[in-house]
Amino acid sequence: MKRLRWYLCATVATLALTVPAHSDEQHRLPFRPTLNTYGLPGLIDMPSAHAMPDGELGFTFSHAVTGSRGTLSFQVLPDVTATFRYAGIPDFAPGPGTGTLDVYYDRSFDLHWQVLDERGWRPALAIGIRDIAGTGVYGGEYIVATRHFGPEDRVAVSVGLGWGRLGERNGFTNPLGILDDSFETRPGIVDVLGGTLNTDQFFRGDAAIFGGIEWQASDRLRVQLEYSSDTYREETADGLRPADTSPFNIGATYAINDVFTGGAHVLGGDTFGLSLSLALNPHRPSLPPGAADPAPRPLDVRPRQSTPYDTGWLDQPGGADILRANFEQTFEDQGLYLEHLALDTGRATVRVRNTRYNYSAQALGRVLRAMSASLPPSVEVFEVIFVVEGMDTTRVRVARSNLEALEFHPDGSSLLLAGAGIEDARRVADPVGLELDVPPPRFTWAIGPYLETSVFDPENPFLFNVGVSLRAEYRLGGGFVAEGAIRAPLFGNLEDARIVNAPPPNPPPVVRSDSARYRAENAAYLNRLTLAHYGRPAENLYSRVTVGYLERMYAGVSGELLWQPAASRLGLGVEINHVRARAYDGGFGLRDYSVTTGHVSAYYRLNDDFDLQVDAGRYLAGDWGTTIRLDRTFNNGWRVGAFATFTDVSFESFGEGSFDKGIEVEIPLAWFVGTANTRTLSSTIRPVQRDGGARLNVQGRLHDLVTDYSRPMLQETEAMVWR
Amino acid sequence: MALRRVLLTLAAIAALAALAGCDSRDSRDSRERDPAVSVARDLLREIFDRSGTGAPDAPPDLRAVFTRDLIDQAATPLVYVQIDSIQARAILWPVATNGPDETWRGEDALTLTLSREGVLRATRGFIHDLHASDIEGTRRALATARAGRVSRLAIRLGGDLAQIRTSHACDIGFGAPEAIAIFGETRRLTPATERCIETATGDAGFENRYWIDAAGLVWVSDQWAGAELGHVHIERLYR
Repeated sequence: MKRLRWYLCATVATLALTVPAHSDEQHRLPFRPTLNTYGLPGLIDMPSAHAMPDGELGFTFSHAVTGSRGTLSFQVLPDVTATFRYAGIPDFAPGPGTGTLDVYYDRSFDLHWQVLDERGWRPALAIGIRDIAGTGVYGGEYIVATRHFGPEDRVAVSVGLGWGRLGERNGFTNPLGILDDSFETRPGIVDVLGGTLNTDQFFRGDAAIFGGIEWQASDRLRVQLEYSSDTYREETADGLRPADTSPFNIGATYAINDVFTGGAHVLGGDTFGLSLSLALNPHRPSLPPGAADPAPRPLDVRPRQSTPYDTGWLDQPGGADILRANFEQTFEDQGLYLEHLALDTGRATVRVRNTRYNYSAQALGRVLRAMSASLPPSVEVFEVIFVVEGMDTTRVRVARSNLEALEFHPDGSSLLLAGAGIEDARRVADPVGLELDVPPPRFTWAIGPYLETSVFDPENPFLFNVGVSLRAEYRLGGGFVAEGAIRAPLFGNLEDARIVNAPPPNPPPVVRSDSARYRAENAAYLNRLTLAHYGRPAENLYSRVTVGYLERMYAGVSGELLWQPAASRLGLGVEINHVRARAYDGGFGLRDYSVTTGHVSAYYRLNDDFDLQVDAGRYLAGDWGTTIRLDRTFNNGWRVGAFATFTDVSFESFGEGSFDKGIEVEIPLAWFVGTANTRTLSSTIRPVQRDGGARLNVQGRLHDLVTDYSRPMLQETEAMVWR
Repeated sequence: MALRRVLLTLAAIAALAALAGCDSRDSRDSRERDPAVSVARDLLREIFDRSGTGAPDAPPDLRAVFTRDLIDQAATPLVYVQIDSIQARAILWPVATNGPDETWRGEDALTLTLSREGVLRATRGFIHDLHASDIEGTRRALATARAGRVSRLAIRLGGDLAQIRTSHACDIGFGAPEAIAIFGETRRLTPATERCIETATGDAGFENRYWIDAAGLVWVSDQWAGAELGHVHIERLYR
């Protein structure tokens, strides 16, 4: 249960409400733009040229009789906003010949780029594409300019030119026609599967003018008036709005606090709508990092003396017991466990298991202070090796006199990490003199609730199961771990997930699209039962072999090898699995389908803000291809990423969505609660889970396990070393 | 329907939160075994026992409880700290010394680090801590009783672990010595004022006040610890 599910976020986010608002600056127009009913910076339906603060994650829900929209917006870069939207339109026929559906669910993806920011007299300018890869119900493009006026920039005026859905009202011949005649006509959508770029549509066909004005009436209240170029043509045709309505929409939003904003609006005098948006920003936690943790133990500084420190202690009888007691006392209640200590008169190496600190530099700082309190003064070189799944990761070497000199230095954190030696634990031998081995407990268990969710299923926006999970682990020694987990769902609706009835032509083997059948068996089931071996075959190399019931749907054997030097931004891995599909009932039975699947992977830390991962190989359906994954990362552990997989399964054979892709959001629980905690809230949003490009979901993949203590990660969290 | 499902889910989540998971990990209470701390704690316990306040929930009025006699009997130096922004009053004792810096701690897991002379260096365990600072200019000015301009640096942690540095330019001035009572003992101390403006913006910053003896030791002070924590009032309770 290392990862709680995303939806716990909702409850924890409400905790954020209890914290008083930050400065009023947060509420000002230029600082935090209003999110429109599409979840993008804008007015009511129309966009503006604003951008959200960097890293902001916005959730917007809007509702009117013309449909409900839920949008996840993320400010990927200071000037680029990306959104994913799930909308439900009642009694709607999405296209000619489709017939009217009770609720038509539509998923769409947008990009909004603030090309120029506002400066002097120059307005901000933004270009956007709505529904880049979908079926085009909300498809439209725009270019918009926004400028602020008045004292404290309380008024913002936006004027724009729209195409597609935004070019409907009083549309005129596309001015881009001067570049090429082809801009003057917008072709119909040919791709009915969605998932591919509708590039032949972008900025084509008639264009129309839209605009609006927004007024910051008070610190929290804003009023919007817009002239809309969207006539809701298809909704009107289906009787959801009257014909010939006014082009003017009016609305107001109220910032309840830093997180929630509520709004109400009237479209054209005929349609009333409501909206609620929730904004989280990795830079704006409700509590500063580590704020709710108790003060750390200060460093124990050695007495200064002109003669060398005594070294006779090394031969003192019972020395190991004293040191063990010292560490036990200083590590008590810190979630840090000493596994091994080796020292001579001048150097000490500790191996430590960290179960609490999500910031690796904070764990390092705590261990170094425990060493300063526990070890005799003659020990000048401190070495810390964090042990993960029994594997030594990096060896961090710090001079004790440096530690003492930097505790209260204004640049103490950076200087300490810059001066630390960080290398593979295997590179140098441990000191020889006194040795202490504290093996971890062999048997551990945990029982607790679990929540499993699936969001934005094509026919159901939210599916979940709640139940009880029992997990047990037995360490056999020598790097071998036996682990099992049983789950008993108590209630939920996950089994309602759509089972694809009409498969696409020449489909790949069914490897994931039958997941609902596994969930339909609502009795207790074996989630995992594995025997794993983790090891360090050579310097910079990590290995894993796992045998057994690897995940809910597959059993077999999985082997992985990772090359990851301690200070490198690049890691390379290879994984090979041979698996057989498990029986639907969650017991020990297996089904006929078996496959050999595996990948070679490259992990690259592009800079302090982005991680790139490329996996190439064979997927569960026997298809060959590549997954590309790009994550925006934050020092505090936030991670928002997108991935896409292209394999030799054709778009047509893949079916709806054309290829596998998704968005993953991961937020450390510590960010919400302000105390050290290794748990994360994470959720993967996949528009459609099909059979092409599907991967095995094995536990304990090496890269995530071992990179926390690499130089890049220690330096990115260095501010926490003295916390 | 969808809304009802969401509400059901939220109810389920609340139930989940209530049904706290348990596991095999040992979770004993924290017991500090540091001898220095236990001495100080015993002293405090003794003092509060003597104070005879019947209601354990009522915070003791430290000024009434800590008589000069008790302070003189204490085997360890103590400081009285009052932080109005969080309505905190506490007696702290020293738990560590690192060069010119002394870290003081009380019953709660909160610490203040003061320079040897008594200038605030850092805080830990408060929601909004003063992460680190450069106070060398102030220390020199107080030690030498020399008025003039000094520079200062305050560092706090941002949400994404950024170390946010704010520089201040501070004018230090001294007044005429005056009699100041500290828990029943009157000392003749020189008042000093440190008026700081933000170097980058020129905005008004904060004002610190110190009362120092002839050796430059700060006996009473009101020192700024950041926008949220505001001023920390500190009095030294030993000879």
